[in-house]
Amino acid sequence: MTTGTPPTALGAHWADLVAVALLGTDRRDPPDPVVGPLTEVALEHPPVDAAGSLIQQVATLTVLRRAATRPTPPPPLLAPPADDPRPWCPPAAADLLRRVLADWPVLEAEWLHLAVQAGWRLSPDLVPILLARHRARPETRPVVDHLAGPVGAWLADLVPGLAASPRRTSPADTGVVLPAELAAVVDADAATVVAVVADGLRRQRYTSPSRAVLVHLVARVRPSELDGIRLRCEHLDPQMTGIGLAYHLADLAATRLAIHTVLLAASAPEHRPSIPESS
Amino acid sequence: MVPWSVEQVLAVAPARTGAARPLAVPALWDLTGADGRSVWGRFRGGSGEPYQVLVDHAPGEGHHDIGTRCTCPSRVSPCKHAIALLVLWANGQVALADRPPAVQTWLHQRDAQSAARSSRADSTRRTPVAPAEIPIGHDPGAAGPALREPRSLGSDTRVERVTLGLRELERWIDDRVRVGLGDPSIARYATWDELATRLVDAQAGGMANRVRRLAGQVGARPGWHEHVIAELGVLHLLARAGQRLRHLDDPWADGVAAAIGFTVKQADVLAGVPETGVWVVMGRSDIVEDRIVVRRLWLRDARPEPSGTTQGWAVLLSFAAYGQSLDDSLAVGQSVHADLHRYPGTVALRALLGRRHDATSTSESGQGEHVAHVVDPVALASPSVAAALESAGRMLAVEPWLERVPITFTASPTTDDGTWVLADHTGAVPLADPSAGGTTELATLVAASAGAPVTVTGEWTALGLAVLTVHLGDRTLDIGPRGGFR
Repeated sequence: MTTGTPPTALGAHWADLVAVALLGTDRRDPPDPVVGPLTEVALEHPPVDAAGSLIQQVATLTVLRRAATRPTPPPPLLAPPADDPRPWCPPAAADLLRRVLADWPVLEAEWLHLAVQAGWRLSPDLVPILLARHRARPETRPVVDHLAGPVGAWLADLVPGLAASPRRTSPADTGVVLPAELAAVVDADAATVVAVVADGLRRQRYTSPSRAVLVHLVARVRPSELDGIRLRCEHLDPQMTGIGLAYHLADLAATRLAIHTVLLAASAPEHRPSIPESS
Repeated sequence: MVPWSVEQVLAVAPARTGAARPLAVPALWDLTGADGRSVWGRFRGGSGEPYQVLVDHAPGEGHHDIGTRCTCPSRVSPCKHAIALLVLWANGQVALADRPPAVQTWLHQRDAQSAARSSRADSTRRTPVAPAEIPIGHDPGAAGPALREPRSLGSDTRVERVTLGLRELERWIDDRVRVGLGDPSIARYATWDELATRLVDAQAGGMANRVRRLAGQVGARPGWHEHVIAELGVLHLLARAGQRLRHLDDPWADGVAAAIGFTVKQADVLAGVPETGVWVVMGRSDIVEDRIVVRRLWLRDARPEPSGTTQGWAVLLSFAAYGQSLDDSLAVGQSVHADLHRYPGTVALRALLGRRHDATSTSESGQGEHVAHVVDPVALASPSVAAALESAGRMLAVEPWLERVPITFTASPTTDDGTWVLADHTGAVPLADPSAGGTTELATLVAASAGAPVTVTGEWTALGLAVLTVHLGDRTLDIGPRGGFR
């Protein structure tokens, strides 16, 4: 820490005390308390020996220093990154992404793409998280960089652990292939989708270990059907086999719907997206 | 029965005369009465619950001195209410009355305790009171009130134990200073652990925690010995003050006692007079201390120019052991209209929330607890970095042992010789080392600023500023430490 100001009498005395504290009063005597309020304190409470004098002076000066701490001379400010006209994504969108990363990572890619579509940039709390997460994922890093904007590269220069790594360390995502009966209903309405899912659950065709296909189905259905799917799943027979998984899918549908609502409904002013009905 | 003179009453605890005098007004008291042995009454000082005060002014054989009892949160006996009641009595403003049953019971208890003490004294040799404990100018043989027994500090035994523990701490610090901080003994775990254990046994748990935290600083960074000797100075200060609790004014004694580890019951704090107002949750930190997560929620009075040593700040403490969850009912950025009850002390930051006065509301989406801001936190910020340090300094001047002092100010993050600081035209303050895995929080702060000034709330510590919150125009970023059992 640079100070740039000449040492004061008290400052020099403090340094002497610290030096004696390091060596020990058995080896070196502390300086006499001849500076400022130290004299007063020593007169009122004469220390019995060298150790007593040292600790008394240290205590007194510490109280003074803590009460009278001043800032150090300001260093040069950082050169700012290039301007980015895009607004930060809404706080609710950031909350949703955090929930996605924790509970429903299958929705991350969609969140990112919708954010790009709607013209948002990452709010500051998301920038470090996503840059770190996508350090070694060359397929997805470009989207994250785009969403972070100039702040991303600027930040990666200043703080370790955020720059893109040349080597891939996590396996590339292989797309999950939907079985025929599910692939057939990807573009269907909510009633049809849930009918097929419920039928499969009852027949125990889909159980917890094979839930990935159901998750990916809900992640790919038409956004307009999400609320219907959620509702129908929540109203399935509670005694049904696999009902727990169905409720799980309802939560997924609700989360995905919220992402669409929050990211697109209140989109950035300059961007009025025209969302294609289906991919 | 001849009541005492006012001079005799005030000689009981000269340090509390100033605080007691304004309370010796009949209009502030009711249900008062006196008889040959006792004085009793109820003090009604404000909108909180009244304090019940009892005094045993003629204890007789077996007692060291007069006894007092008051339901106020102060830990030192006799408190200012007891003295004030005695002044009223000495002035003839308390009528003779029949002793109420509660007073009778209390007197019986005192006599029973005194009898038990004298039989113990016969069988075991008690440690004599050291000369340093007796106030200068006091003649132990003189007639009249002698040394006070701190009533609400607990029993005789506890005070004795704490005193012995603090004396050992003093001797231990003395040893470190003689031998030097460069000596290998300071790096040995046992050196610190034995002292901390001894302090826990002496019921000085607050000191034991400080000792353990300081032990972790040995060798932690270049220049650690400067920090450690300074903290030993503060421990020395607390050890000395803790041995002189009886001679300190109420709020000082309360502040020192709290630092040592004397606890005050929540019920007593909640029974006191609250500060009613709008409180903004400015920051949060979760820190693991000895296998318990301690959550600090920093509240700030919404009025822009609050007065007093706390300058409108307060902290709510909550705890969770392994397996328990913390109380998440208040989010950073939220504001509440509520009663705040402060624990006693000179910088009375620690507080409890009492009655709430606003209806709770949920956001439109029904998600989370995003209650709309009533107050703009930026309006509560100190006008500069220098002003923020000065406000912290004002609190530290009164309680230099405070380990965390809240400040809010606007500044730009930048680097100074490799250290991150927050700076404006008045100067720079260093950021404390990030906790394990804390670089995300630092990165969030830097990203939020993008080089420009931002408003932050942080805890000012001896090792720099721990940033808890970034207050942005349309959102609040909670970047306080999340130490927990993950």
